[in-house]
Amino acid sequence: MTRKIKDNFRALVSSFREQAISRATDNFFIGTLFFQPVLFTLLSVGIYRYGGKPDLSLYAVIGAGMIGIWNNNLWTSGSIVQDERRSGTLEFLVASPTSLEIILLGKSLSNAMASILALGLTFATGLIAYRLPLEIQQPLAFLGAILLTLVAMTMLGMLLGSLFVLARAAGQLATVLNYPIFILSGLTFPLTVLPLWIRPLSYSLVSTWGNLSLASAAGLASEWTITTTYLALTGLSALYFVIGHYLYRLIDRLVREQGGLQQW
Amino acid sequence: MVIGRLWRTFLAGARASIAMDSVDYSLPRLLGTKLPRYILQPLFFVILATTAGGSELGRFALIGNAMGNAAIMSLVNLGISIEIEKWAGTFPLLLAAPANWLPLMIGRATAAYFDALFGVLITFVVLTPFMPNADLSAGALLMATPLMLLTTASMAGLGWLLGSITLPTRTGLLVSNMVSYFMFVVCGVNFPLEALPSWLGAIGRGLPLTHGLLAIRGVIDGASYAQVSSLIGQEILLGTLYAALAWIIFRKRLMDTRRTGRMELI
Repeated sequence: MTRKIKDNFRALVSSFREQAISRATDNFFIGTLFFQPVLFTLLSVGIYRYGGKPDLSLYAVIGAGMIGIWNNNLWTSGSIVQDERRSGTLEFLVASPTSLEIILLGKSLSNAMASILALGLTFATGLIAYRLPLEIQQPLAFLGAILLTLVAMTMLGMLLGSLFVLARAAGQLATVLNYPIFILSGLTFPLTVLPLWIRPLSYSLVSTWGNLSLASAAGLASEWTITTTYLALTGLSALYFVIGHYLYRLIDRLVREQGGLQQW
Repeated sequence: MVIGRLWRTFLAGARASIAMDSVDYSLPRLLGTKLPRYILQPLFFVILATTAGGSELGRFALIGNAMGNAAIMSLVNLGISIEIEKWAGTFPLLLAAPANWLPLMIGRATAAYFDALFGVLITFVVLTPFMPNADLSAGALLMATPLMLLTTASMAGLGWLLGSITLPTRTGLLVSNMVSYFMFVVCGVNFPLEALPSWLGAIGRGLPLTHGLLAIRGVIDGASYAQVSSLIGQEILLGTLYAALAWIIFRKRLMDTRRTGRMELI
């Protein structure tokens, strides 16, 4: 038992490191990681300033940071499976004694950690380009929100990664998912502008709660307390983990029964 | 005789680009990935702009993003049209072919060009009915259509320039993407240029989308073509300038490659 845990941990660390190295040499990933948060901050804060609502600038900065986190985490999670498929190594990973789930966990965690950089970039852009007075009222709570968002994003990355094993157009799907998620999660604008019937869908997303949690910790008015957002993030992480785990087992069995991944 | 040969080369390129696009985009993929992207990105910015500045700024964002989307498609697709040949391993063959490159390149961009215009159409058709206060009549949009064609074409010039500059690198797609999204900030897509710091506004005025978009907004709001003629002139001038620069750089790279025989380095 202890040996198995050790082996899995070693595989986790290796896949984390492999993902970090491969992304560090990927121009497209680096470009997206550094450029997109800056761009979304310039745009969203610019729109609020022009529209006469500069008081929503901090909300826009946090939302732009969440957009960066989402993009760099989920988009790359889609590309993890796609890259393995293109390299012809996906079958080997599925067939190897180490569970693909562990590999996906390590890689998703690596992506999630890198994506946190996006949040720092949006704050830096707000400070430098617009000279915004960006003050975080509860820095510790803000840090807690970042960590919980990171865990939740990793779990979602794992869940989607499992699904993408069966989707050849995983990269395309990940790209298409971006804007619906930005809208549903109210990233850069308050959720109250969306129709009421959409809210349940919004509240099922970690990006919504991550955004609300960060906004609350920063001191922005919110109908949710920080504790509630923490609980929601923890609950959703657990839920995503359970769904992802069973989904992976189902897909693993399906793939082994079919004897290959060629038909997907 | 010469014109006939150039025309045939253009048609061959156009046929190839349309064939490639039709293989790349099956109906399920078109409906599942491409159409949502045409609609959802403008929708996001329209909601953001409406929250910030009411329906007037929402309308501004709708027009800007519909054209911005087309600009991205035109610029990125043309910027990477050469890179695609490199990925497919057909670039050395095209390089060695005796056919004139200019009509061939214009031809190979045809599908991307129509793709961009289709994107504008879909954005307006789907989103306008949800904005009753936008006051965007079909007649006004039709009046502005030639300007949309012109702006998309002038963006192609910039796309080619980026493609030519990044030809010896592996970063063509990345650079095209970055420039096109940067244009969302500095070309008056989501808010007027005046709201930007002056140095960013100056960059925007040197890019093709800015003047075309101003002319489109003017015509949609009821201005005549004569009233926006200076904006049209600036858009044509910038598009031509970028395309000419692209051709000069591309030609030099081609000649250098042929002279040194170092195709593999491209």
